[in-house]
Amino acid sequence: MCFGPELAAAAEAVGSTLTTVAPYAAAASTAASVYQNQRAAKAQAEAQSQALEAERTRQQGLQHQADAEIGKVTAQFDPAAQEKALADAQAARTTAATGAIKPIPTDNYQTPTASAPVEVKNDLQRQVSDSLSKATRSAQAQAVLKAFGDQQLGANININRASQRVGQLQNFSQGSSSLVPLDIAAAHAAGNGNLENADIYNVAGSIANLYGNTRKKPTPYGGYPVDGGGNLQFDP
Amino acid sequence: MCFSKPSIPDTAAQAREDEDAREAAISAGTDTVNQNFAKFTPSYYGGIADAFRKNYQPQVDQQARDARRATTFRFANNPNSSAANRVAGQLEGDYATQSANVGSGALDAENTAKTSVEGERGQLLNLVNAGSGLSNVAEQSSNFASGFNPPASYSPLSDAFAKYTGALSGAATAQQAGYAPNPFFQKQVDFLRGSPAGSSRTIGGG
Repeated sequence: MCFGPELAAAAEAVGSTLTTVAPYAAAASTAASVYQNQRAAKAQAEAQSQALEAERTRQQGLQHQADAEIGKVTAQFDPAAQEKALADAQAARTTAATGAIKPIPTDNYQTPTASAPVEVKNDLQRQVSDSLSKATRSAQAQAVLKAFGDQQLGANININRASQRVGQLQNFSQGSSSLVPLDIAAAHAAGNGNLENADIYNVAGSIANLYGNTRKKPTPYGGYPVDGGGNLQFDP
Repeated sequence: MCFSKPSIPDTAAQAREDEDAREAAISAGTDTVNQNFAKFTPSYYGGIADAFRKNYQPQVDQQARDARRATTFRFANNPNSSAANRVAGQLEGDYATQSANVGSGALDAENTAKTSVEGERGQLLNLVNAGSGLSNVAEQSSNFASGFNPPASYSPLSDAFAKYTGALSGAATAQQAGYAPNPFFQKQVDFLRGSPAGSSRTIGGG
């Protein structure tokens, strides 16, 4: 018993069917590949967006901290605050200087004598009082002058400290932002699975296409209808 | 058919962890420096000012006493003169000025110490921010904070009352000892002496 002709016919039928189906399989694979590509692109875009959003949040937080530091230090330049700081500095200086003024520690050596006329004693009182008044006024004036330096020193210390803190925040900001390229690279890797699938579908589609093309009977005249004798049929 | 995913080393996550660790180290270093410098309070600086006053005010007091003694001797022949009163008044004024200078100088010493401490603190924080070893910075800040005793030495007060105890009294003494008077000093000695011994004449001062 020989099934040769039947098998050949069956194979021919299957081949014919595959040939018919191949273009559809190729189209389906291409569609799947496109879909997977789109999914990959979407996953990448989402991952990138998340990475950028996270960095933006970090930078915003650091900026808020820096703003707060700068706000605190610039508040001292408010006219009222400056006036108060200067007044405090002047009061402190004046107290330190004039508070130290006192009569010379007494001892047994002094003029005038105890028996001196009252005019002489009064004159001494006046001389001493005048000198002390002058010295006190001078000390007060000097205290007011030096208080500007005291206030400036206090302000400078605050500015330097704020500058150090802001510098540190800037350091953190730069450190974080320098990692953004790596974050984006990682985001691109997020769609790799879909891209692999897309590649597989793409290859499968190419194979199906190739199979369909190799099994296709030659169509002379670019597939235009021919008659039994192979001649082109034209519609009148 | 099996398609294994290629192993992508998550260097981004690792780098982010490293950065977090770096920032944490800087924050910890800053905290350490701040803790070691916490002793530099207004009270601490007030102590420096107080030390300055305790060093210099007794010197001023002593010099003033010496000057007063010198002027008392100088006017021993005419203690009840307006000239003696004027000099006594000037001496009181000069003493007041010197005392005020000590009080003000105490604040200057305080400010100098503040500047020094803040400068050192800033340098240490720069080291922290630059990523210097935390233990190194901690040790440095601790050493500075514990060893800071400004100022290292106080210079002695110069003779603030030399005009009472120096040249003039020296000239008067020399003249009394029989030396020829120096014309320049003589006028001032005469002025300081005022009226003849025993006189109690009062001249309006100013």
